[in-house]
Amino acid sequence: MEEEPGQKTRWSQKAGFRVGVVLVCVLVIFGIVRQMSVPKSFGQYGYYRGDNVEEWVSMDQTFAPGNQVCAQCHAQEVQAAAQAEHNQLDCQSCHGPMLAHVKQPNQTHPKVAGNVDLCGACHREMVGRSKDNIRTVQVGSHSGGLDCVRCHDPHQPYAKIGGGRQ
Amino acid sequence: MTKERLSRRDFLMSAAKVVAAGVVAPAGGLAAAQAVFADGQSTSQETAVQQMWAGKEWGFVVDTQKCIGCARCVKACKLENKVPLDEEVFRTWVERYLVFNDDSGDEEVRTDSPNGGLDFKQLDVAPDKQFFVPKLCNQCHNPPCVQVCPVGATYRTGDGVVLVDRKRCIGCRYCIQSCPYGARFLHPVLKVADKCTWCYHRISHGMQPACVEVCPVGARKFGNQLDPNSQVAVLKKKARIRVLKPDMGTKPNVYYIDLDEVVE
Repeated sequence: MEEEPGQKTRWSQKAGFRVGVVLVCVLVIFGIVRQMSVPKSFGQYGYYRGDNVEEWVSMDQTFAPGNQVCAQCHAQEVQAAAQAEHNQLDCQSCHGPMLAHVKQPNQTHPKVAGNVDLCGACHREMVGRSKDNIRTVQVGSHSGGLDCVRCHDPHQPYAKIGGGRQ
Repeated sequence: MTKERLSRRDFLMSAAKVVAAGVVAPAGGLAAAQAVFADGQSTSQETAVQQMWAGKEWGFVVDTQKCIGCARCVKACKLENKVPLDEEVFRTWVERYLVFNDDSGDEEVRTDSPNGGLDFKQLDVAPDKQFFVPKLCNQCHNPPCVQVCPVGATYRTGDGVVLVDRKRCIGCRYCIQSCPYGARFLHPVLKVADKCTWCYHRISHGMQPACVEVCPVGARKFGNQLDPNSQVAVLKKKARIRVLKPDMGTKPNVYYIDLDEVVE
Protein backbone atom coordinates (compact mmCIF):
# COMPACT_ATOMS: atom_id res chain seq x y z
CA MET A 1 0.00 0.00 0.00
CA GLU A 2 1.25 3.40 -0.83
CA GLU A 3 -0.79 5.22 1.79
CA GLU A 4 0.98 7.88 3.75
CA PRO A 5 1.55 6.78 7.35
CA GLY A 6 -1.11 7.86 9.85
CA GLN A 7 -3.64 8.83 7.20
CA LYS A 8 -6.19 6.06 6.64
CA THR A 9 -8.84 6.62 3.98
CA ARG A 10 -12.42 6.34 5.22
CA TRP A 11 -14.13 3.27 3.82
CA SER A 12 -16.98 5.29 2.42
CA GLN A 13 -14.53 7.23 0.28
CA LYS A 14 -13.29 4.16 -1.53
CA ALA A 15 -14.09 3.91 -5.23
CA GLY A 16 -15.25 0.29 -4.88
CA PHE A 17 -17.89 1.30 -2.35
CA ARG A 18 -19.30 4.02 -4.58
CA VAL A 19 -19.56 1.65 -7.53
CA GLY A 20 -21.23 -0.83 -5.20
CA VAL A 21 -23.85 1.68 -4.10
CA VAL A 22 -24.77 2.39 -7.71
CA LEU A 23 -24.94 -1.34 -8.44
CA VAL A 24 -27.17 -2.04 -5.46
CA CYS A 25 -29.49 0.81 -6.45
CA VAL A 26 -29.76 -0.53 -10.00
CA LEU A 27 -30.52 -4.02 -8.73
CA VAL A 28 -33.10 -2.81 -6.24
CA ILE A 29 -34.86 -0.70 -8.88
CA PHE A 30 -34.79 -3.66 -11.26
CA GLY A 31 -36.27 -5.85 -8.53
CA ILE A 32 -39.07 -3.39 -7.81
CA VAL A 33 -39.92 -2.84 -11.49
CA ARG A 34 -39.90 -6.59 -12.10
CA GLN A 35 -42.10 -7.21 -9.09
CA MET A 36 -44.60 -4.65 -10.35
CA SER A 37 -44.63 -5.65 -14.03
CA VAL A 38 -44.65 -9.46 -13.84
CA PRO A 39 -48.12 -10.74 -12.88
CA LYS A 40 -48.33 -12.58 -9.59
CA SER A 41 -49.30 -15.95 -11.00
CA PHE A 42 -46.78 -15.85 -13.87
CA GLY A 43 -44.72 -19.02 -13.83
CA GLN A 44 -47.15 -20.90 -11.59
CA TYR A 45 -47.45 -23.79 -14.07
CA GLY A 46 -45.10 -22.66 -16.81
CA TYR A 47 -44.00 -19.61 -18.74
CA TYR A 48 -47.44 -17.96 -18.61
CA ARG A 49 -49.92 -16.35 -16.21
CA GLY A 50 -51.39 -19.22 -14.17
CA ASP A 51 -54.61 -17.32 -13.36
CA ASN A 52 -55.49 -17.31 -17.06
CA VAL A 53 -56.41 -21.02 -16.92
CA GLU A 54 -59.15 -20.23 -14.41
CA GLU A 55 -60.30 -17.29 -16.56
CA TRP A 56 -60.90 -19.61 -19.50
CA VAL A 57 -62.57 -22.27 -17.37
CA SER A 58 -65.04 -19.78 -15.90
CA MET A 59 -66.10 -18.26 -19.24
CA ASP A 60 -69.86 -18.37 -19.98
CA GLN A 61 -71.27 -21.11 -22.22
CA THR A 62 -73.92 -20.51 -24.87
CA PHE A 63 -74.94 -24.02 -25.90
CA ALA A 64 -76.66 -26.36 -23.42
CA PRO A 65 -74.96 -29.69 -22.67
CA GLY A 66 -77.24 -31.90 -24.79
CA ASN A 67 -80.63 -33.39 -25.56
CA GLN A 68 -81.12 -34.87 -22.09
CA VAL A 69 -81.47 -31.32 -20.78
CA CYS A 70 -84.12 -30.52 -23.40
CA ALA A 71 -85.98 -33.76 -22.61
CA GLN A 72 -86.67 -32.61 -19.06
CA CYS A 73 -89.39 -30.31 -20.42
CA HIS A 74 -89.81 -31.32 -24.07
CA ALA A 75 -89.84 -35.11 -23.63
CA GLN A 76 -92.43 -35.63 -26.38
CA GLU A 77 -90.45 -33.81 -29.04
CA VAL A 78 -87.14 -35.39 -28.05
CA GLN A 79 -88.67 -38.88 -28.09
CA ALA A 80 -90.36 -38.30 -31.43
CA ALA A 81 -87.09 -37.13 -32.96
CA ALA A 82 -85.18 -40.03 -31.44
CA GLN A 83 -87.31 -42.52 -33.37
CA ALA A 84 -86.96 -40.91 -36.77
CA GLU A 85 -84.33 -39.96 -39.34
CA HIS A 86 -83.02 -37.04 -37.36
CA ASN A 87 -82.17 -39.15 -34.30
CA GLN A 88 -78.45 -38.32 -34.52
CA LEU A 89 -79.06 -34.61 -34.20
CA ASP A 90 -78.60 -32.45 -31.18
CA CYS A 91 -81.68 -30.25 -30.69
CA GLN A 92 -79.41 -27.24 -30.94
CA SER A 93 -78.14 -28.24 -34.39
CA CYS A 94 -81.32 -26.64 -35.73
CA HIS A 95 -82.72 -24.70 -32.78
CA GLY A 96 -79.46 -22.88 -32.08
CA PRO A 97 -77.84 -22.14 -28.73
CA MET A 98 -80.31 -22.78 -25.90
CA LEU A 99 -78.48 -22.39 -22.61
CA ALA A 100 -80.12 -19.02 -21.93
CA HIS A 101 -83.51 -20.68 -22.50
CA VAL A 102 -82.58 -23.58 -20.19
CA LYS A 103 -81.61 -21.17 -17.43
CA GLN A 104 -84.66 -18.90 -17.84
CA PRO A 105 -87.31 -20.77 -19.83
CA ASN A 106 -89.91 -18.03 -19.46
CA GLN A 107 -87.66 -15.10 -20.31
CA THR A 108 -86.18 -16.28 -23.58
CA HIS A 109 -88.34 -17.74 -26.33
CA PRO A 110 -86.10 -18.94 -29.12
CA LYS A 111 -87.53 -19.29 -32.60
CA VAL A 112 -86.37 -21.58 -35.34
CA ALA A 113 -86.86 -20.81 -38.99
CA GLY A 114 -88.00 -23.95 -40.79
CA ASN A 115 -87.07 -22.56 -44.18
CA VAL A 116 -84.81 -23.67 -46.99
CA ASP A 117 -81.83 -21.79 -45.59
CA LEU A 118 -81.86 -23.90 -42.44
CA CYS A 119 -82.75 -27.28 -43.94
CA GLY A 120 -80.73 -26.57 -47.07
CA ALA A 121 -77.56 -26.26 -45.03
CA CYS A 122 -77.55 -30.06 -44.96
CA HIS A 123 -80.04 -31.10 -47.67
CA ARG A 124 -79.21 -28.76 -50.54
CA GLU A 125 -77.79 -30.51 -53.56
CA MET A 126 -74.25 -29.31 -53.99
CA VAL A 127 -70.93 -30.28 -55.55
CA GLY A 128 -68.84 -31.91 -52.86
CA ARG A 129 -71.83 -33.30 -50.98
CA SER A 130 -72.20 -36.98 -51.69
CA LYS A 131 -75.69 -38.41 -52.01
CA ASP A 132 -74.38 -41.53 -50.27
CA ASN A 133 -74.05 -39.57 -47.05
CA ILE A 134 -77.21 -37.47 -47.06
CA ARG A 135 -80.49 -37.13 -48.93
CA THR A 136 -80.23 -33.98 -50.99
CA VAL A 137 -82.71 -32.04 -53.12
CA GLN A 138 -82.60 -29.08 -55.46
CA VAL A 139 -84.29 -26.81 -52.98
CA GLY A 140 -85.74 -24.45 -55.57
CA SER A 141 -87.56 -27.04 -57.64
CA HIS A 142 -88.30 -29.37 -54.73
CA SER A 143 -90.38 -26.96 -52.63
CA GLY A 144 -91.14 -24.24 -55.12
CA GLY A 145 -90.13 -21.65 -52.55
CA LEU A 146 -92.32 -22.97 -49.75
CA ASP A 147 -90.88 -23.45 -46.29
CA CYS A 148 -89.79 -27.05 -45.71
CA VAL A 149 -91.93 -27.34 -42.57
CA ARG A 150 -95.10 -26.94 -44.65
CA CYS A 151 -94.72 -30.58 -45.66
CA HIS A 152 -92.05 -31.99 -43.35
CA ASP A 153 -92.12 -32.17 -39.58
CA PRO A 154 -88.42 -31.74 -38.76
CA HIS A 155 -88.75 -34.10 -35.78
CA GLN A 156 -90.25 -36.83 -37.99
CA PRO A 157 -89.47 -35.76 -41.55
CA TYR A 158 -91.90 -38.13 -43.30
CA ALA A 159 -94.73 -38.26 -40.74
CA LYS A 160 -96.76 -35.41 -42.26
CA ILE A 161 -96.59 -36.76 -45.78
CA GLY A 162 -97.92 -40.20 -45.07
CA GLY A 163 -94.93 -41.75 -43.38
CA GLY A 164 -93.20 -42.99 -46.51
CA ARG A 165 -90.26 -41.63 -48.40
CA GLN A 166 -91.22 -40.04 -51.67
CA MET B 1 -6.10 15.31 1.36
CA THR B 2 -3.68 12.71 0.19
CA LYS B 3 -4.19 10.92 -2.98
CA GLU B 4 -5.24 7.33 -2.43
CA ARG B 5 -3.90 4.56 -4.56
CA LEU B 6 -5.38 1.11 -4.53
CA SER B 7 -3.45 -1.99 -5.34
CA ARG B 8 -5.08 -4.23 -7.91
CA ARG B 9 -5.63 -6.97 -5.34
CA ASP B 10 -7.41 -4.65 -2.92
CA PHE B 11 -9.59 -3.25 -5.65
CA LEU B 12 -10.64 -6.71 -6.84
CA MET B 13 -11.32 -7.92 -3.29
CA SER B 14 -13.51 -4.99 -2.35
CA ALA B 15 -15.29 -5.05 -5.71
CA ALA B 16 -16.07 -8.74 -5.23
CA LYS B 17 -17.52 -8.04 -1.77
CA VAL B 18 -19.68 -5.24 -3.10
CA VAL B 19 -21.01 -7.31 -5.98
CA ALA B 20 -21.82 -10.18 -3.62
CA ALA B 21 -23.66 -7.85 -1.27
CA GLY B 22 -25.47 -6.23 -4.19
CA VAL B 23 -26.78 -9.55 -5.42
CA VAL B 24 -27.70 -11.13 -2.10
CA ALA B 25 -29.49 -8.16 -0.56
CA PRO B 26 -32.08 -7.47 -3.31
CA ALA B 27 -32.60 -11.18 -3.88
CA GLY B 28 -33.42 -11.61 -0.19
CA GLY B 29 -35.63 -8.56 -0.35
CA LEU B 30 -37.47 -9.92 -3.39
CA ALA B 31 -38.05 -13.27 -1.74
CA ALA B 32 -39.39 -11.55 1.36
CA ALA B 33 -41.64 -9.31 -0.74
CA GLN B 34 -42.98 -12.30 -2.65
CA ALA B 35 -43.70 -14.12 0.59
CA VAL B 36 -45.66 -11.10 1.81
CA PHE B 37 -47.64 -10.69 -1.42
CA ALA B 38 -48.43 -14.38 -1.87
CA ASP B 39 -51.71 -15.43 -0.27
CA GLY B 40 -53.06 -18.81 0.73
CA GLN B 41 -55.75 -18.73 -1.95
CA SER B 42 -53.37 -19.20 -4.85
CA THR B 43 -52.15 -22.53 -3.53
CA SER B 44 -55.65 -24.01 -3.25
CA GLN B 45 -56.45 -22.78 -6.76
CA GLU B 46 -53.22 -24.32 -7.93
CA THR B 47 -54.19 -27.75 -6.64
CA ALA B 48 -57.69 -27.43 -8.15
CA VAL B 49 -56.21 -26.74 -11.58
CA GLN B 50 -53.70 -29.55 -11.25
CA GLN B 51 -56.47 -31.94 -10.19
CA MET B 52 -58.49 -30.88 -13.23
CA TRP B 53 -55.53 -31.69 -15.49
CA ALA B 54 -54.58 -34.99 -13.88
CA GLY B 55 -54.90 -38.00 -16.18
CA LYS B 56 -56.19 -35.95 -19.11
CA GLU B 57 -54.90 -35.44 -22.61
CA TRP B 58 -57.74 -34.17 -24.79
CA GLY B 59 -57.94 -35.42 -28.34
CA PHE B 60 -60.12 -34.74 -31.38
CA VAL B 61 -61.10 -37.05 -34.25
CA VAL B 62 -62.56 -35.81 -37.54
CA ASP B 63 -64.23 -38.31 -39.87
CA THR B 64 -63.82 -36.92 -43.37
CA GLN B 65 -66.09 -39.66 -44.77
CA LYS B 66 -69.03 -38.40 -42.76
CA CYS B 67 -68.79 -34.63 -43.14
CA ILE B 68 -71.52 -33.19 -45.39
CA GLY B 69 -70.25 -29.61 -45.35
CA CYS B 70 -73.28 -28.11 -43.63
CA ALA B 71 -71.07 -25.80 -41.54
CA ARG B 72 -73.31 -26.06 -38.48
CA CYS B 73 -70.02 -26.39 -36.57
CA VAL B 74 -68.73 -23.10 -37.99
CA LYS B 75 -71.85 -21.23 -36.94
CA ALA B 76 -72.09 -22.88 -33.52
CA CYS B 77 -68.43 -22.13 -32.84
CA LYS B 78 -68.89 -18.45 -33.58
CA LEU B 79 -71.99 -18.23 -31.40
CA GLU B 80 -70.42 -20.15 -28.52
CA ASN B 81 -67.16 -18.24 -28.53
CA LYS B 82 -68.53 -14.82 -29.45
CA VAL B 83 -66.59 -14.44 -32.66
CA PRO B 84 -68.41 -11.90 -34.89
CA LEU B 85 -70.54 -13.74 -37.46
CA ASP B 86 -70.03 -11.18 -40.20
CA GLU B 87 -66.22 -11.17 -40.08
CA GLU B 88 -64.05 -13.48 -42.17
CA VAL B 89 -62.33 -15.06 -39.18
CA PHE B 90 -62.94 -18.59 -37.95
CA ARG B 91 -61.88 -20.80 -35.08
CA THR B 92 -63.10 -23.74 -37.11
CA TRP B 93 -63.97 -23.86 -40.79
CA VAL B 94 -64.86 -26.40 -43.47
CA GLU B 95 -62.95 -26.79 -46.73
CA ARG B 96 -64.36 -28.34 -49.87
CA TYR B 97 -61.98 -30.40 -52.01
CA LEU B 98 -62.80 -31.17 -55.62
CA VAL B 99 -60.30 -33.37 -57.47
CA PHE B 100 -60.30 -33.62 -61.26
CA ASN B 101 -58.28 -36.16 -63.24
CA ASP B 102 -57.90 -35.56 -66.96
CA ASP B 103 -57.01 -38.18 -69.57
CA SER B 104 -53.29 -37.39 -69.50
CA GLY B 105 -53.20 -38.37 -65.85
CA ASP B 106 -52.82 -34.84 -64.52
CA GLU B 107 -54.58 -34.11 -61.28
CA GLU B 108 -56.20 -30.79 -60.53
CA VAL B 109 -57.34 -29.99 -57.01
CA ARG B 110 -59.77 -27.15 -56.36
CA THR B 111 -60.31 -26.03 -52.80
CA ASP B 112 -62.69 -23.45 -51.44
CA SER B 113 -64.16 -22.40 -48.14
CA PRO B 114 -66.40 -19.38 -48.74
CA ASN B 115 -67.21 -17.67 -45.45
CA GLY B 116 -65.63 -20.58 -43.59
CA GLY B 117 -67.95 -23.03 -45.34
CA LEU B 118 -71.21 -21.25 -44.51
CA ASP B 119 -71.67 -20.11 -48.13
CA PHE B 120 -70.76 -23.07 -50.32
CA LYS B 121 -72.21 -22.65 -53.81
CA GLN B 122 -73.45 -25.21 -56.26
CA LEU B 123 -70.91 -25.36 -59.09
CA ASP B 124 -71.36 -26.56 -62.65
CA VAL B 125 -68.54 -29.09 -62.52
CA ALA B 126 -68.28 -32.85 -62.19
CA PRO B 127 -65.26 -33.74 -60.07
CA ASP B 128 -63.88 -37.26 -59.87
CA LYS B 129 -63.43 -37.00 -56.17
CA GLN B 130 -65.27 -34.69 -53.79
CA PHE B 131 -65.22 -34.30 -50.05
CA PHE B 132 -65.19 -31.84 -47.15
CA VAL B 133 -62.50 -31.41 -44.51
CA PRO B 134 -63.29 -29.56 -41.29
CA LYS B 135 -60.31 -27.74 -39.88
CA LEU B 136 -59.55 -26.39 -36.43
CA CYS B 137 -56.60 -25.84 -34.13
CA ASN B 138 -54.57 -29.02 -33.80
CA GLN B 139 -53.52 -28.23 -30.20
CA CYS B 140 -50.03 -29.45 -31.12
CA HIS B 141 -47.78 -31.22 -28.64
CA ASN B 142 -45.03 -29.02 -29.98
CA PRO B 143 -46.80 -25.74 -30.81
CA PRO B 144 -44.80 -23.20 -32.84
CA CYS B 145 -47.24 -20.45 -31.83
CA VAL B 146 -46.27 -20.86 -28.18
CA GLN B 147 -42.57 -20.81 -28.99
CA VAL B 148 -42.69 -17.51 -30.84
CA CYS B 149 -44.84 -15.51 -28.40
CA PRO B 150 -42.59 -12.74 -27.08
CA VAL B 151 -44.65 -12.02 -23.94
CA GLY B 152 -45.64 -15.48 -22.68
CA ALA B 153 -49.27 -14.85 -23.59
CA THR B 154 -49.94 -18.25 -25.12
CA TYR B 155 -49.31 -21.65 -23.62
CA ARG B 156 -50.31 -25.30 -23.60
CA THR B 157 -52.30 -26.43 -20.57
CA GLY B 158 -51.59 -29.61 -18.64
CA ASP B 159 -54.53 -31.32 -20.34
CA GLY B 160 -53.35 -30.44 -23.83
CA VAL B 161 -55.09 -27.28 -25.03
CA VAL B 162 -53.27 -24.24 -26.36
CA LEU B 163 -54.81 -21.07 -24.93
CA VAL B 164 -54.24 -17.33 -25.35
CA ASP B 165 -54.03 -15.01 -22.36
CA ARG B 166 -56.13 -12.09 -23.61
CA LYS B 167 -54.87 -9.77 -20.88
CA ARG B 168 -51.23 -10.37 -21.81
CA CYS B 169 -51.44 -10.61 -25.61
CA ILE B 170 -50.09 -7.49 -27.30
CA GLY B 171 -51.50 -8.39 -30.74
CA CYS B 172 -48.13 -8.64 -32.50
CA ARG B 173 -49.39 -11.48 -34.75
CA TYR B 174 -46.18 -13.56 -34.55
CA CYS B 175 -48.22 -16.61 -33.56
CA ILE B 176 -50.61 -16.09 -36.49
CA GLN B 177 -47.61 -16.19 -38.83
CA SER B 178 -46.05 -19.22 -37.22
CA CYS B 179 -49.05 -21.56 -37.28
CA PRO B 180 -48.61 -24.00 -40.19
CA TYR B 181 -52.36 -24.66 -40.19
CA GLY B 182 -53.59 -21.06 -40.30
CA ALA B 183 -55.64 -21.71 -37.19
CA ARG B 184 -55.04 -18.34 -35.56
CA PHE B 185 -56.40 -14.88 -36.32
CA LEU B 186 -56.59 -11.46 -34.74
CA HIS B 187 -59.93 -11.09 -32.95
CA PRO B 188 -61.65 -8.20 -34.76
CA VAL B 189 -63.15 -6.77 -31.58
CA LEU B 190 -60.65 -7.62 -28.84
CA LYS B 191 -57.57 -7.07 -31.06
CA VAL B 192 -55.76 -10.01 -29.53
CA ALA B 193 -54.79 -13.35 -31.06
CA ASP B 194 -57.68 -15.81 -31.00
CA LYS B 195 -57.97 -19.48 -31.85
CA CYS B 196 -59.94 -22.64 -31.21
CA THR B 197 -59.78 -23.63 -27.54
CA TRP B 198 -61.72 -26.88 -27.99
CA CYS B 199 -64.28 -24.88 -25.98
CA TYR B 200 -62.13 -25.03 -22.85
CA HIS B 201 -64.96 -23.42 -20.87
CA ARG B 202 -67.18 -26.37 -21.81
CA ILE B 203 -64.82 -29.35 -21.67
CA SER B 204 -63.60 -28.31 -18.22
CA HIS B 205 -67.20 -28.71 -17.04
CA GLY B 206 -67.80 -32.10 -18.65
CA MET B 207 -69.53 -30.78 -21.78
CA GLN B 208 -68.56 -31.39 -25.39
CA PRO B 209 -67.18 -28.61 -27.58
CA ALA B 210 -69.98 -26.71 -29.36
CA CYS B 211 -68.98 -28.00 -32.82
CA VAL B 212 -69.07 -31.61 -31.63
CA GLU B 213 -72.40 -30.97 -29.93
CA VAL B 214 -74.15 -29.72 -33.06
CA CYS B 215 -72.54 -31.87 -35.77
CA PRO B 216 -75.56 -33.63 -37.32
CA VAL B 217 -73.59 -36.55 -38.76
CA GLY B 218 -71.14 -37.30 -35.95
CA ALA B 219 -68.11 -36.34 -38.00
CA ARG B 220 -66.44 -34.77 -34.97
CA LYS B 221 -65.47 -36.75 -31.89
CA PHE B 222 -63.88 -35.38 -28.78
CA GLY B 223 -62.54 -37.04 -25.65
CA ASN B 224 -59.69 -37.95 -23.36
CA GLN B 225 -56.93 -39.81 -25.19
CA LEU B 226 -55.68 -41.28 -21.92
CA ASP B 227 -59.04 -42.91 -21.16
CA PRO B 228 -58.95 -46.20 -23.13
CA ASN B 229 -62.76 -46.31 -23.25
CA SER B 230 -63.21 -42.87 -24.77
CA GLN B 231 -64.38 -42.70 -28.38
CA VAL B 232 -61.26 -40.80 -29.34
CA ALA B 233 -58.90 -43.37 -27.83
CA VAL B 234 -60.78 -46.23 -29.51
CA LEU B 235 -60.85 -44.53 -32.92
CA LYS B 236 -57.20 -43.54 -32.62
CA LYS B 237 -56.36 -47.18 -32.08
CA LYS B 238 -58.65 -48.82 -34.64
CA ALA B 239 -59.34 -46.35 -37.44
CA ARG B 240 -57.04 -45.42 -40.31
CA ILE B 241 -55.95 -42.01 -39.16
CA ARG B 242 -53.58 -39.30 -40.30
CA VAL B 243 -52.68 -35.88 -38.98
CA LEU B 244 -52.18 -32.72 -41.03
CA LYS B 245 -48.62 -31.87 -42.09
CA PRO B 246 -46.87 -34.51 -39.98
CA ASP B 247 -43.55 -33.40 -41.49
CA MET B 248 -43.77 -30.09 -39.62
CA GLY B 249 -42.95 -31.91 -36.39
CA THR B 250 -45.74 -30.18 -34.52
CA LYS B 251 -47.35 -33.45 -33.35
CA PRO B 252 -51.01 -32.46 -33.83
CA ASN B 253 -53.81 -33.82 -31.65
CA VAL B 254 -56.55 -33.66 -34.27
CA TYR B 255 -56.72 -37.04 -35.99
CA TYR B 256 -58.39 -37.37 -39.38
CA ILE B 257 -60.07 -40.58 -40.47
CA ASP B 258 -59.52 -41.46 -44.16
CA LEU B 259 -57.83 -38.19 -44.97
CA ASP B 260 -56.98 -37.89 -48.66
CA GLU B 261 -53.38 -37.14 -49.55
CA VAL B 262 -54.30 -33.95 -51.43
CA VAL B 263 -55.36 -32.30 -48.17
CA GLU B 264 -52.84 -29.97 -46.62
